[in-house]
Amino acid sequence: MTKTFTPTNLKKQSKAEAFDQHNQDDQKFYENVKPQLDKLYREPSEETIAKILNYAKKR
Amino acid sequence: MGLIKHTPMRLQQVSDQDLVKLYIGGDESVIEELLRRHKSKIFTSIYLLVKDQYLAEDIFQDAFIKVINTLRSGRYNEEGKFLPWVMRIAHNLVIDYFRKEKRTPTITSADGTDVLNLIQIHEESAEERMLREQTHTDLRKMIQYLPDEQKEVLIMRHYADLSFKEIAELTDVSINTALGRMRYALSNLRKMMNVKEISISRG
Repeated sequence: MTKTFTPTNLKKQSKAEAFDQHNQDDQKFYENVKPQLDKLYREPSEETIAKILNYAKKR
Repeated sequence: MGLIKHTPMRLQQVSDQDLVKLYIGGDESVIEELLRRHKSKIFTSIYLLVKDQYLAEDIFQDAFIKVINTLRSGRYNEEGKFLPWVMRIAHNLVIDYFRKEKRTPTITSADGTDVLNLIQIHEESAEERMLREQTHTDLRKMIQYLPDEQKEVLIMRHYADLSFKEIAELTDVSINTALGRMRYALSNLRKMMNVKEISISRG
């Protein structure tokens, strides 16, 4: 005869697993989107840099 | 304090802390190296918060003038790291700006054009350029749509390269809160991208 049982913590486990899965998906998404995010890098103008350097030299 | 002797060739190997010591010791030229190392991280973070190139330039300049004044006055705390310290100054200036203007960051882009895109010198087709500009604009807009506290953490983590501990200190929250905000930011960005992909596939 085959014994059957119903796990009592199934619902709780599924929630935790879903949460972990969601976190993993977000992390994976971040790794994938990093190159696109990197493309948004900007530089200040050379004029601004020159002003700062001039100021730094004045004592 | 023992001054570190350097040659221009070796400057790139000197730590931020030692560059700061050199500046305090009278070597003004090292500011150029500090700027070279951190200008993109700091400037991009400011720009993504204020969404205006010219305003970002002003705040970036003001931040470094404060940095220089503090170093000269001998008030710099050597225990702190240079980049998180400058980011704190820049962050406070951004907050001051919004307070003075009595306005909060809006979710629409003030200026959709990308000045740097206009001076790209490599050759690309009109179609490629349109696609690149669209992708940049879309992602930038999605970042702007994030709630302020999530946007702030994403920018500081990704663009300013700060640790969660540093972000937590800077924004006056616990590390867990900073981590949670990053998770929500990524989750929301992912949702926005999914929505966009669905709308594109539906034509």
